[in-house]
Amino acid sequence: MGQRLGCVDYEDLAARIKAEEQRAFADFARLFAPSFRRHLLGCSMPPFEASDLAATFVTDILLRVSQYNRMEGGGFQAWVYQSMRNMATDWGRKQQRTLPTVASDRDSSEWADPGSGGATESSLDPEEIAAVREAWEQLTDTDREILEIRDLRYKPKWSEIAGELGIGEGAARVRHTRAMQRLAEILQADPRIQREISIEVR
Amino acid sequence: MVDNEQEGGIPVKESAMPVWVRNALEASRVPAEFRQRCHEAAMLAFDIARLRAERERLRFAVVPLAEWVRGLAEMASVSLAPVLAWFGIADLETPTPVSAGRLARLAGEIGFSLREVRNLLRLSFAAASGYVSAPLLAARRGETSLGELDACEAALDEIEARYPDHLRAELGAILREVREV
Repeated sequence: MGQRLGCVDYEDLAARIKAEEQRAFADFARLFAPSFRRHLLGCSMPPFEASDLAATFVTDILLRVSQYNRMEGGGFQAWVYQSMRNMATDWGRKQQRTLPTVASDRDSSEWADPGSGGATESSLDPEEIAAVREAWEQLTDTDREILEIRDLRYKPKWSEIAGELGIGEGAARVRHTRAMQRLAEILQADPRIQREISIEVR
Repeated sequence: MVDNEQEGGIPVKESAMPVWVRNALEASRVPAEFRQRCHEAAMLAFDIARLRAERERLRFAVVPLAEWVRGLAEMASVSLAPVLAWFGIADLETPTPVSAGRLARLAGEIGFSLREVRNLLRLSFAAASGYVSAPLLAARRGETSLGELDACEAALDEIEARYPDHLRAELGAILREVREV
């Protein structure tokens, strides 16, 4: 049995791509492209450029799936993200640009461990997505700003976050925790959310 | 949450957004045009994979690269324009030192070996330079004990010996661009 995450079996996806199943190619793009783009945005790349490059990575990585061997360790999801990181580094080298290394604790835990998260869009219920979006909209601008920087743009260091906000590191952590608590409270009160909402420290 | 560090003597707690919440937020705001673009990127890879599958079914044949690619596309019912655009190829017929690397990458992705790619580019260059007899020469040599690739190389060696200096130099520049596929 392959790695499962929600309804996604990544080993099965790899096998279907190798078997040239058209639907599998589309599934790959749907599952992975948003996180490619998110990674590139986290490297301070402008959105239009991140979108361009993420789409390029979709084609490039799909063309290399035939080289994927499960025995290499880590599973298909980890292989995909490692390929993406290598391509991003190569791209930066060719452009004579140094992309920031996005290798924070969050990054490594999410991308190296196939069971811990990542491309899980398909495992989300549309109702959950809507509920999360509505909860997000209920937050203050200040709350959204800190969560955006810390959790959605992959800013790896508190010192950078604090610098961007013009506050101290401790204040940034406190602001983040409070924003996270408010988001969790809104979500916990929403009947569409059936999951346990844990916001424990990584 | 756990106490993480002290801030002015007050314990600072640290929290993290659950992965599913982050994914839900991302899912709700991935631009539709980006999704469409990535779908097209995936379908491009699918088309290239189909070309590769067709190539795997065939033995090497002594025809220029353009004929190979067009033939495979026809057999696989693949539209070539997006594929060529992806590799940055404007002219499939005439290899140049500038386009050689791109043509080689296309050929490599379709499944040709480095040796085959070099021969296909030599054939294409011969044809584009007016030396159209290479396939016939190779066929004649192939009647001996030579395999297709050996016969192709022998025929090309024979033709290229007749090249004027400028063509020989240009072919050399093309082949220098093709060191791996």
